[in-house]
Amino acid sequence: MLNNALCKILFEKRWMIFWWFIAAASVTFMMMQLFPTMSDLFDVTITEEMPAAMQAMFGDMDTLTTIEGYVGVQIFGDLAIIVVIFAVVFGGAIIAGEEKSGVLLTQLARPIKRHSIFFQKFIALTLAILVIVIGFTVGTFLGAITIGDSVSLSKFWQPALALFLLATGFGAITMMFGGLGIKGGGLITGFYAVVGYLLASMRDLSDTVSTLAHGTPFGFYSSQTFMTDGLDPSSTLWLIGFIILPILVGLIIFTKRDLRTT
Amino acid sequence: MLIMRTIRAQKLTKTFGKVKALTDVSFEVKTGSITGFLGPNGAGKSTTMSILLGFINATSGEAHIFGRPVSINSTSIRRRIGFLANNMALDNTLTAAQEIKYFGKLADNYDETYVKELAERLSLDLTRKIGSLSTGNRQKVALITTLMHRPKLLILDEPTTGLDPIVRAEFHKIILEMQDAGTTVFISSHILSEIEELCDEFIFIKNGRIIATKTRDELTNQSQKKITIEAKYIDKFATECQRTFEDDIQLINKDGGVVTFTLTGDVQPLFKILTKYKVTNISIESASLEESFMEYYRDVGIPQTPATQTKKRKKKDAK
Repeated sequence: MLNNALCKILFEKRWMIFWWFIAAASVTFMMMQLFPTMSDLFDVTITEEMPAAMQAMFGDMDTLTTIEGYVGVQIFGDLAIIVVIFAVVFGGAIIAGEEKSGVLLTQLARPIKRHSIFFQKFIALTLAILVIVIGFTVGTFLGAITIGDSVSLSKFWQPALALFLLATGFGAITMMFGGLGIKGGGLITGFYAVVGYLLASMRDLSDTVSTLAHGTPFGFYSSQTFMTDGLDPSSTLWLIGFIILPILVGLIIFTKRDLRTT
Repeated sequence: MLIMRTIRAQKLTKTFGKVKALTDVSFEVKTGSITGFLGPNGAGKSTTMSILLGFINATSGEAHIFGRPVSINSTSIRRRIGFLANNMALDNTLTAAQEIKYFGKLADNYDETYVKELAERLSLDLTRKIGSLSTGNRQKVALITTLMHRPKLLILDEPTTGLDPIVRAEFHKIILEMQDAGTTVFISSHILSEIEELCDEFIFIKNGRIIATKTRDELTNQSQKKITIEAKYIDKFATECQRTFEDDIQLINKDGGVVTFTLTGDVQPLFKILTKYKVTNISIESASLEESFMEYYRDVGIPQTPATQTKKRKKKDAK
């Protein structure tokens, strides 16, 4: 069970992962119960009366009247921030948190290379996010079944994959700050995520907002169309890039810099 | 005879921003020795140890362990090192056995039988969660993770903090057994009686610089001794001693036929003088390591323990 750093993190954080899984599944399940009411509410009249900024934020209201549109916008769109928050919290705990508490130093006193520890922690992060995304998706799917709407499970894999990449990107950015030894990396990433989330929500307002949104992973996360059109390959590549780049930067600096020893 | 060195630090310098933590620190630790690394808080002990373990990089200079530079071979060197940090951080969620097993697996040399033996000798219950252990018992877990792979070099920073005297004595026994088996020990501790009991050599560091390196014999010979002599013609004897030793001698008391004084350095000339007098009684007390330590760090200001601080505060309040 505790054969390496990867297993140890997962074992140590098992309850955290479990409760976040339950929370993600519960929230999406409950949110799905609102679909019948919401689809009636967001009819054409309300959409027309809404200010342009709100319309931009909520997207095309017609999509909310279909189960696919509702899942894309309300579940994988608005609730995606839950998984992102988990990724930031988890990513912050495994490098910066362990360095601050001294646990990291205790591990690195053993014959283990720094890049190995960093890489194992990254794998742990991706596995933990994967579990939460599964919970998130299962909650949504079960929610859809209980309200009597049938959505093929095969339609969920693309938004689930996009959500996984999005959250892993933010987790990787938090890990990068830990790798660089910058204090408050979790807070910085959290702020960056919220700003990105808001910018992406309002990207239809202007080109400037849209351009700014593309400075964050949220800019490449178009949840409205995931259920109907699937993943856009170029956006997917960008989301992958938002994972690889910070991980590489964090890894390179982490293997060379001075560790905090007090 | 060729003397092997396990640690060789050459002109280690480390700066943190504008602060110079170490300046040209050079020293050697003989293979198979137990070497004490002494200095007040902030002298540079932990920084030096961190460089030896590859946690931080020296700004200039190089350290070699087992003949290999630590800046290049840090990981393979650590395979043969047992390191105990001051207040070593452990995972509260694991049991002592799980934590020890994890570190054993990381080091790739987990010997369950030896772990059980160490736990028994240090009176540690391996089934308890670390979060529920006292400071002393947490320290025992840390000690076992440090010793369990029978390392060739032990680097210990305050190893017996929080341990009761019985367990501390057992730990000393284990260390001496490991030395007999060929392990080199590099130890830093503020418990000077412990250092005095264990070490063959002493390295003194002050303000990031090595100020002295002494063997036990050198320290004993060079340390201050309190000497009391009862003899005839004591005035003449005292005058001759003062002429011979000049500044190295400090007269404490001269009463009747008895003279008491302190002497620093070699005592051999004193025995030559004594042959000329009819001595009826003589007593020589060597200074303890603590007294030598205070001598070296007199101007630094030794950090006060909470107990002394409380005493001072009480005195102040009384006034």
